[in-house]
Amino acid sequence: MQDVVELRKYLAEVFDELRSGDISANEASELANIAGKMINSAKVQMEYHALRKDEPKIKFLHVQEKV
Amino acid sequence: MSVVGRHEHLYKIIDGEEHKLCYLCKQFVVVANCTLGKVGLDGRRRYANCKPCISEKRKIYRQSPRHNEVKRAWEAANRDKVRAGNRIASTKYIHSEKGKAIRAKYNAAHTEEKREDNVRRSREKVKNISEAYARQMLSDGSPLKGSQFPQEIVDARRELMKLRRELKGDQYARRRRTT
Repeated sequence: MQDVVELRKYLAEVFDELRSGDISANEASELANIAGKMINSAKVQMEYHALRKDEPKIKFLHVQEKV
Repeated sequence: MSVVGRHEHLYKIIDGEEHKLCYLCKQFVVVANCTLGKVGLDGRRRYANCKPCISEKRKIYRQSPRHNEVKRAWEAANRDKVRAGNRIASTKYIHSEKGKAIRAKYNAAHTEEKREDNVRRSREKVKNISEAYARQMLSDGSPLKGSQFPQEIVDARRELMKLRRELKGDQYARRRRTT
């Protein structure tokens, strides 16, 4: 999982699998929990830089378009 | 201003005031009541016809089909300028006394309606997990505003909320089955 776009795509896949019954609710719940932590850690990083008033590039959030 | 040269016959001093001949009403009118014309080669400002005549002429032109055609063609070719102009005009109107008064009158007359509308919109936002709702959730307890979060993280958060909602529904279904 390199960036946030990959994370979003993965979450969409998990959602579809959960609906089709390929994945158990417990497993999906664990994955959602980890994804939430990843998003929150990126958010905390953003808040930290905003409070310090600097604008570094957060690799996880800045996605380069793949051709 | 004294006028010398080939336009001299258009100007006349009457009662110490400079007047100009209006080509439309054929009367001498005080220069101050004439519209400003082009600046001539000699650097002097020419005065065009009198203001009421020009106003009438423009009014007639604005009612003509040609005016509508020209206006529509220009608007189609300059959409950005039209939008920018509309934005400026609407902002000006919103902040004007008239705009404020009309808005206050409308709000007073539609309080209940507006409240219901706000509640409905808010419910829809939550139900559809809109982008605004995801941004609101991200900014909750954060020093950042919702608009400061990049689109990618908002999309990921929306997907996560969707998944969590599905899981919650699943949990409820399981609970219902067991009880």
